[in-house]
Amino acid sequence: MISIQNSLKTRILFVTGSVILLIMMIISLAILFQWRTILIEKEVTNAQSVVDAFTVPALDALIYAEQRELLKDDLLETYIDNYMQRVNSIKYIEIYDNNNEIVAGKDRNGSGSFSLNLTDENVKSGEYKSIIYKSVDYGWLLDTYASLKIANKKWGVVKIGFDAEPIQKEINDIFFVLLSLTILLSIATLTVLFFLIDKVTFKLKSLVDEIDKIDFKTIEEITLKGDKDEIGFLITRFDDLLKRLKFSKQQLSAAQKQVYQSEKLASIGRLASGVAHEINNPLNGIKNCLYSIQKEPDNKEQTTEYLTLINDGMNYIENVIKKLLGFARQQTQITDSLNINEMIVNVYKLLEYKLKQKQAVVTLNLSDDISTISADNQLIQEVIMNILFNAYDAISEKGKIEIQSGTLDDKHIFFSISDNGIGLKENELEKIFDPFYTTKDPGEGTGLGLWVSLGIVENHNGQIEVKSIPHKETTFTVILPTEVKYENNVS
Amino acid sequence: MKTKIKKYLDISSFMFKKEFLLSLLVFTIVGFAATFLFYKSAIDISTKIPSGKQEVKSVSEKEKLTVYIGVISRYPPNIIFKGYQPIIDYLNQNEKFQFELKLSTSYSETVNQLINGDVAVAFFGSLLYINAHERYGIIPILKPLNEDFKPFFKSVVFVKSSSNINSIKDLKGKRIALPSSESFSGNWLVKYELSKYNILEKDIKEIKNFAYHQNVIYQVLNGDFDAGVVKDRVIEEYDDRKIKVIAYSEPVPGSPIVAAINHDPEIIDAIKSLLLKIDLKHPKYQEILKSWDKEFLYGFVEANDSDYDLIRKYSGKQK
Repeated sequence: MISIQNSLKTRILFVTGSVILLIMMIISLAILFQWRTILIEKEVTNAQSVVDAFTVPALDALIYAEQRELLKDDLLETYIDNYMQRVNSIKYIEIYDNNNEIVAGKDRNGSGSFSLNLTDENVKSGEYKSIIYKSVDYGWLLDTYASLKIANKKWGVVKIGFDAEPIQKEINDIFFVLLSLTILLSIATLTVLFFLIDKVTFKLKSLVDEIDKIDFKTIEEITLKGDKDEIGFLITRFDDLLKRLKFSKQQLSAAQKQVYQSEKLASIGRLASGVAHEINNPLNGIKNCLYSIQKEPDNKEQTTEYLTLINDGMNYIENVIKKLLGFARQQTQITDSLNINEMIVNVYKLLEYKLKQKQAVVTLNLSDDISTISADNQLIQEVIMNILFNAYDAISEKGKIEIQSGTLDDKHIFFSISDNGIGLKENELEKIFDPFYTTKDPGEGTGLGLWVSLGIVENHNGQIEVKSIPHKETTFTVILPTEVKYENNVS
Repeated sequence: MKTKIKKYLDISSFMFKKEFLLSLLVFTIVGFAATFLFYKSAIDISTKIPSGKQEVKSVSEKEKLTVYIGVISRYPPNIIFKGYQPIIDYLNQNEKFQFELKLSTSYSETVNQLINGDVAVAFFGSLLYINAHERYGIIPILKPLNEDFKPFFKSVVFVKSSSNINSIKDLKGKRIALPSSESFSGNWLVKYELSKYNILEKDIKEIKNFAYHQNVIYQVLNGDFDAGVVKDRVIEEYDDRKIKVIAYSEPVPGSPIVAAINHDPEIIDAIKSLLLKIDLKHPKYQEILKSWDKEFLYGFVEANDSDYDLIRKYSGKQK
């Protein structure tokens, strides 16, 4: 089970979600600030138009008053009153003369005071740029200016304060609309993305489930059928991979069989001298018997005795050949209720003559109440043969070999072969199960014995342990389960 | 092997879990902070107030002697400023004098301003000039050119385009609006032209003078009067779909710029030199003259008293 934070879905959602959110935020901000700029510019332009429109009657009033020497402030305030009545967004109007002193003005707050900005920096600067600021009395204000002039003749400046609260409110509204849109669109996009990724990961999960179901014994094609998309492509490729694996496995199995057989033949070769001796002795006996019978054909008593001896000798030879053929036989099969002690004794007997040649002291310490096992008789005998051959090779004249067997636990038995031969160094221990690794002289060993033995034991779900104190004791322990479930069919 | 992988996965998933939660937390905090900052930044609509920088008049402007130029009240004051102030701005190119307009409420006030020395020169009307010349010895300096580059203008008799008045002879029994009685246009039709059609002043239902030429046009357009007389330069400003011209006067000398007899020749020279050097072939002058009153769009020529004899003929004041 993949945890949520490790899930591909979460990661993709997290990363793409972040990217989408970021992009949405950037777009929203760009829209917001562009909108804000346009809104402010529009309001400033509108305000400027209103102020410009006001300058016409204001100029007329100023010129008229100047021409007729009237009190211009009275006249201007009449105009201001009229104008403020018509344009509700105006908070105040102030008219400055050329000395930057207020000559007329009106404040919508009703204070009648036009001393809002007696020292207006904007008026002083002569730049008359529209400014937006937050005033204590009015909140957000847009101050707009216009010069009261014709050509280069200047009478003063008119300044009109507009209510800028609606601009701020509109920007505030736009912000929340865009924020809501960003969140909604992000959620919508992520939801769509979630389902898309879910669909993809579902297919991947199905593929994984199919992979889990694969039986490596049979390696059958997967049943999942993909679409014509990347996942389908992956399924097809995986199917191809299974076919190639199956083919490789078949090839490997065939190669292993050959290797096992070769190793077996090599063992038979090594047994040959012992077998020849085993056959030679009874043959000489038979020959002597036949000679005596031929010499005295009428001695019925002798003939009967010698024929019995010949028969015994022939039986012995037959027995030896049976054992050899039994070992060399290629067909292998799992057999239930096998006694490991019997297999050990069989192999020991095949090697007995060779062991005697070296005057080896062999001790068989076999447990009587050992459980029977389900195993391949031939393959396990080959393992015993390989390990016993190694012990034989390791010991010197009159060396000691001990073969033990016993029960490890309810489900496992073991047998071990110890010798007091040259042993193995620590660095050699790491390599002895490698194929073609041998410490023997060239021509004496294939270097495949232990590799093959390990393969057989592991295929029986067993294991081989090796302990060695050079020149003192080396022990190979083979642990086998009482019941075998093959994962790989080596045969 | 499987155990090892599982252990590795457990460790890495624990690390990833921490990183995941941490990044999620950081992402959320940064998101909130950024949103809040952007919100504050967006709703703060304040703009910078420009730093105080006093408007400084140029030294030359301060040192120059202020000289006033009068204009007769032929148009409303704002129209006079719009049309004449650019001329004053142009004249202020000179290095000695700072010219300024001085308006009046009547034609006679301008004459008084001139003889009192309140204004050095003045834009006059032709008829006003001959009268002022006769009484106060006022002299003409320059007169404007028309679109044919001739120093003349015409008075026009106009009616509403929908009117059935098609010639002067149809004016009998009608109401006529006129500009100032001291202007040529305010006298020409009634005093000289009607008689040619055997129409007497008493045959006209109503004759009324208005302060400005524009007022005359509005009166006719409003239907308060049947016909009006104005200068040709004024009628050109109005939509010919609404107005119909039924008669033109013969070309009469253009309204002069005049000076008092005791004028300061330096001022006159400064004005004359600048106004006479206007060359309409030059784009610079074309641009400058665009904003001038239409009467002065084609420049000036020097004026002599004798140029106005034609006006005298009309007024019966021939020398």
